Amino acid sequence: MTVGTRAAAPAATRLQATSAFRVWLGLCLLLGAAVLISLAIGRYGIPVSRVVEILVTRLLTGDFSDLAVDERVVLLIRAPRVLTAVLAGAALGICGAALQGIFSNPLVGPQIIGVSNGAAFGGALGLLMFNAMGYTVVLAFVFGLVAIAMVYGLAYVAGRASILSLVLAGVVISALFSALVSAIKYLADPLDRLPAIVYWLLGSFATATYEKLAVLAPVALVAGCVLFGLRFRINILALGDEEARALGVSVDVVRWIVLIAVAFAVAATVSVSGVIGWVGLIIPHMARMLVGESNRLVLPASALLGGTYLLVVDNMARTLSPGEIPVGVITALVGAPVFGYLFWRTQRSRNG
Amino acid sequence: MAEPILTAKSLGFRFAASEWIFREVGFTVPAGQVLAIIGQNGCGKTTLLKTVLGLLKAQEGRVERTGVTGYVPQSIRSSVNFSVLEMVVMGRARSLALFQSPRAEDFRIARESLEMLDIGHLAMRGFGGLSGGERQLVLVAQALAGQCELMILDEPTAALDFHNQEAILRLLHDLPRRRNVAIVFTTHNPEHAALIADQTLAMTRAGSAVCGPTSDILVDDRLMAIYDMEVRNVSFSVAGRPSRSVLPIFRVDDEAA
Repeated sequence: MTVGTRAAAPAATRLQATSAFRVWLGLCLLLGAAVLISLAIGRYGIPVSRVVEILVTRLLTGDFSDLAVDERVVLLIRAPRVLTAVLAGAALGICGAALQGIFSNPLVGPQIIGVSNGAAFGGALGLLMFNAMGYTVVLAFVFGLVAIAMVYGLAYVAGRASILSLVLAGVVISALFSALVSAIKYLADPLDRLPAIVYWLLGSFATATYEKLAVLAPVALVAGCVLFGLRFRINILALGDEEARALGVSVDVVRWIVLIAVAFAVAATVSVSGVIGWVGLIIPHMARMLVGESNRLVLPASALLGGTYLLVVDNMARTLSPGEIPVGVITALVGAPVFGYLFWRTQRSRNG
Repeated sequence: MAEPILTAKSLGFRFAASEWIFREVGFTVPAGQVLAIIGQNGCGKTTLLKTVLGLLKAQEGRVERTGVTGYVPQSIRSSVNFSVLEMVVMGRARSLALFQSPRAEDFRIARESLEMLDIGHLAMRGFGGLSGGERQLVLVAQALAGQCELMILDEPTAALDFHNQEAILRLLHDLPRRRNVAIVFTTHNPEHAALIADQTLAMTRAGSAVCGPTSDILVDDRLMAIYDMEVRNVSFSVAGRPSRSVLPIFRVDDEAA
C-alpha cells in the first residue's frame, strides 16, 4: 500500500542533528557570556577578563580569604544575584513549558494556577507582620503551596480534575489571593511597610543573597529534574486527555506531579524575588521555535533561555537608571509585545 | 474458534439522567477477527467504543478485555506538531515506567511499525504537516507500536479519498492475518464492513443493537431499516471479475417525500 507523500530528504536526520547541536551550543554559550558580562557590569565596572581571572583563581583554589574590593563585588555581591536570576528564570521557563504541555494549551503560564498570587500573599503578609526577609521567604513559600492545595481541593469538589475545572479553580484561587494582597496593602502603614510590600510585589533580585539562593536552588533543581524526568508523559498529555488515557497513561497522576513540582518551584522563586510574570509564558514559545515541539528538548531549552532572559532583564533593571527598576515591570513591558507578536505569528501560520 | 479477546455483555450507557444511548448491547470478538460497527450518526457508535475502551463507564453490563488494546481516534484535535517518530513511540507508554523515556528498543519498535505500514520515510516529518491519510496511518502505527492484540478504530476511513480508504482497508484486512490482531472499527460505509468484517454490529437510534455474521446483517431489508432509506446490495462484474457493492439509493426530488 502506498499513501501519496513527497519523498523525504535522506540526509534530513543528520542535518537535523548538526543544527540541533549548534542550537544547544549557542544557548549554552549565550548563557555563559551573559553570566560573565553580568558579573562585570554595574556601578563598579570590572573588565570581563578580570572577572574570569577572579573566578578561575578563587573557584579553582577554593581559597576565599583576603578578598580585594573587585573580588568582593564579583563573588559576594554580584554572583548571588546573577545565580538567583539565572535559576529563577530557568525555573519559570521550564515550569511554563511543562504547564503548557499538560494543559495542551500554549496560553497558560505559572501564574494561571494560583501559586504566584498565593506566594505573593504570603510574602506580603510576612512584610506586614514581621517586616523581616526571613519570614517573607518562608511565608511566601508556604502560601504558594497552600494555593495549589486549594486549587486541588476546588477542582476535586467540582468533579473530575479536567483541564477546564483546573484552570477555573486556578483563576478563582488566584483572584482570592489577589484580593487578600489588596487587603494587606490597605492595612499596611503607608509610610513604611506599604512601599516595602509594593516594591517586593513588583519583583526584584536587588536583595539576593547566598542564603536566599540556598532556598531557591535545591527546590528549583529538584523540581526541574522531576519535570524533565516526566518529559515523555508530558508529551503524551499534549495529545489530549482521552488519547493519553487510551495510551495507558495515568493522566491525573502525571498532571498532579507536574502541578506540585511547578508549585514548589514557583513558590520558591516568588519567595526570593517577588512576582515576576511573563517569563514562563513566552520563553517556552521561543524554545519551541528553536528546538521543535518535543518536551525532551523544549524543557531544557526553556530552562537555558529563561535563565539567560531573566539575567539580561535583571541587568537592565540595575543599570538602565540610577535607581533599581523592578524586574517584574520590565518582564511585563517586554513580555506583552513579544507575546502579542508570538500570538500573531502562530495565528497567521495556523490560518495558512 | 479462537479465544475471545473482547466480550461485551448487555452494555448500557447514558449521560447522567438523560435517555439511554444504547442498552443491551452484546458481542464477542475472537483473536484475529474483525468486527464492524455501523449505524446512523448519533446512534452511539463512538460512545460504544469509548465504553469498550474504559474511557467512559457503562451504567449497565460489563466489558471483558484480555490483552493490550490500541485505540485509533478519528483525529487528534490537539495542535501539537511532534515528529511522526515521536508520535509513534508514544504507543510504547504502557511498557515504560512513569519517569522513563523511550529507549533505543522502543524507537526500534516504533520504526518497525512505520515500516510495516510502508511509511518509514515519514519518520522525521512533522505530524501537523501530514495529509489526512498519512495521519491516519501514523495513528495506526502508534497503536501497533504498543504491540496491541486488539485495535479499536473510530471511523478510520471517514476523511480519506478512495485510494487511502483502500490502503486502510487492506491494512485492517492484513493485520489479523499477519499479527493475529483483532479489529473493531466503526464506519458509515456498509461496504467496508462487507469487505473485511467477520461480524457486524448494527446500532439503531432507538438504542438497540443487533450483532451477527456480516452476511446476515448486511441484507437489504435490515440495511433499509438501519439507515431509514433505500439501500441495495448489488452484484456486477468489473473487467471480468465478479464484484459487489452496497449502494445507497439517494432521492432528492419531491416525490421521495
